[in-house]
Amino acid sequence: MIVRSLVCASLAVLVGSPGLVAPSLRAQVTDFRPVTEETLRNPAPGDWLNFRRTDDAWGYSPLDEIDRDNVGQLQLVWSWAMDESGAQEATPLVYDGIMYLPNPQDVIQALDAATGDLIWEYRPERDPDARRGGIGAQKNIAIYDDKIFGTTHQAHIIALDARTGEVVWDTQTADPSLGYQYSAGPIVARGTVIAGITGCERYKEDICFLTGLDARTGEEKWRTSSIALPGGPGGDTWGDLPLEFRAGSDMWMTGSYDPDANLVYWGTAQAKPWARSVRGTDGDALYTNSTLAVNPDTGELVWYYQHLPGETNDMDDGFENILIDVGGRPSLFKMGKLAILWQLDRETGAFIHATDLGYQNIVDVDPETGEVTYLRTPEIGVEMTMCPSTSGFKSWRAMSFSPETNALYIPMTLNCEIATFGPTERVIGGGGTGPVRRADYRHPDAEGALGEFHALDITTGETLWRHRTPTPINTAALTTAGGVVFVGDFDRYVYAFDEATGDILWQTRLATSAQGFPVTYLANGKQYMAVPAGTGGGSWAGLIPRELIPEIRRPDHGNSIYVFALPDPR
Amino acid sequence: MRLIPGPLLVIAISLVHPMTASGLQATQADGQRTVWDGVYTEEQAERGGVQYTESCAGCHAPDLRGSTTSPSLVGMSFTFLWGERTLGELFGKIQQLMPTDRPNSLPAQTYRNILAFILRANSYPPGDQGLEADGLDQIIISAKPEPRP
Repeated sequence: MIVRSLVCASLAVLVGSPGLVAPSLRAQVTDFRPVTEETLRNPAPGDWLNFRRTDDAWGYSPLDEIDRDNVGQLQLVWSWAMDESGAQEATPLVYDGIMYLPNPQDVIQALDAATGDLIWEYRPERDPDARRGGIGAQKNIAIYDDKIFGTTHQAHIIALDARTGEVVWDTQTADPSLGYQYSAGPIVARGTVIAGITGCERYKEDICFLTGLDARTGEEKWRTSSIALPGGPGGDTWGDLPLEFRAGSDMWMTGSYDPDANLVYWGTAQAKPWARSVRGTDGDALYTNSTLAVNPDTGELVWYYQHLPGETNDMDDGFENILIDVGGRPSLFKMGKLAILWQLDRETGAFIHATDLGYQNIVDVDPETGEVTYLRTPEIGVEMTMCPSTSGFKSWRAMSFSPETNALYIPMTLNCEIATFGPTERVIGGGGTGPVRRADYRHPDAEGALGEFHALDITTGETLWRHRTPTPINTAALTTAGGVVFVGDFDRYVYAFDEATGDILWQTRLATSAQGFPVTYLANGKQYMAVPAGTGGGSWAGLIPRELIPEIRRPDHGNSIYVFALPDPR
Repeated sequence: MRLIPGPLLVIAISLVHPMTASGLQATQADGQRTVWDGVYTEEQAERGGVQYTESCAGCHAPDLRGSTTSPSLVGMSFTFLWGERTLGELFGKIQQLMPTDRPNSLPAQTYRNILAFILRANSYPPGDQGLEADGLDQIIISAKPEPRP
């Protein structure tokens, strides 16, 4: 039981900065119990303590108060409007009945998870020239000891006092004026706060990196480049390009952790510019489009696996790493934009299997060896068609795993593109993704749908069921021991499916697109399900529906979170 | 399961890149202007710069060179994407799709100001008269000034 006590009612008004922050009622979390390493590795069933609840990124909750028989009775308990100045891609953390909520543009709030009452808010002073718009997503935060850890769109990693929201330390890791920013939050492993940076697409005398900071002090312990350096291991995979023209390998999705192997797993994005013909090398471009296995204590790169060597169509695999033991073999599952499910041995990085869902037409992948053969590669100024579009079939909307069905539940959008890739200047400050003249069109196999929620048996590779929606599926998935899997779409619907059959057991409609990472938790012994809603972000939610199904409209604002539960017994 | 409405089955062929040689020849035959003819004012670009910072720089970067999610709006990238097309097309794209989280949320004049700012950033010369609602379809984004007799 959490007791909130109002400590004081301080008006956080900064002189000379009218309107910067609203006067806020400051309270604090009382009876806070520091989160130990042991707790973090084995969270209580009612807590959502890591990005995807557990280190293995299953996105699965063992709670079963809400089940397939009663989920139809879910009703709204509370909702909360969130910061409107950036993209909504939030994952709430829940610990001991408190929800720690990452808002866009670095705002973090602590709310009573049962009532939605605000306890504290961290709202950094904002540069009046701060860039707003699609950027500023804060996918997740982390908790450890007595601190909340966040990453900012100004390339800082910060630690807040979990009781009060006061800043404990603030470490800048890169220069945001060069484009560097964070959109994915950190994880904490053995006292090290680990985060991967993004915004690495422009040519500069610096490259993308994963970094580990001391959780107590914010001091940087290590930094590992996600790009092979000239003269170093794998350095020749970029041809003779000097370091400043080796761009990309961003990390825009938070990693996973295997405490037994003591390895963290991080996905990297594609090389920049996207097309080989534009970036000036047809080499593999290590360590782009790879899964990296890194020692969290030292930053040592223990192994890597490059999913698409020399990727050239903007089809990155930089997404979530789901750790599942299959037949006693410790495996890592990953799906990128092509909707190919990769299975690796997570101790060695050895390839095990690839399952192509069959929608893409860009590569052939050998399911037994993982060898990739390109079927179509862009040449500058030459029009081509490809499925998917540069938006991908899969993006940051993470899959969830259910141990009951042995299936992954995959949020997708189906689409294709007529694309013509163009050139970019090879000068410092230039580069970037490279321009693409693009026109999206519907996928010929999608029967008019833009969204698909796909349940895939990971041992057989067979489709358990699929549910198509007119607009893209737009949240991560959430699996639960109640046999219910939750997901939301662009068209404001939130669904509860029977995980075994795909039957819709409950649905509701929000004020704007469901967008972010739904979670479930206990507060005062009762199970709640929270789903974020909102707008912004550069990928499919922004452009695909507007181009291909403009008759379906949603409000272009409304970042918020909605919390549902079963009615109390009368 | 929800049913997919019938009209959604139609493939959006109409979204295919609209540049056609015949359209271009028609406008040139009409003796229309290009972006080298001083089609915006310095003041308009100045206002557009402020509005760009507010609404566009988050994705396209303060120096217009783009980001992971958004193309560069200057130099080779701009020429590649918009060369030989009209300002009317570019204006339509910006107004209908930008900012991606709030498309068509700005006054038309603001979109024109931002367009002027983009033209200035690409070193097209300012003139005495600003971009107006009418006539954008008659202004060609040509990479180089037309040779003058």
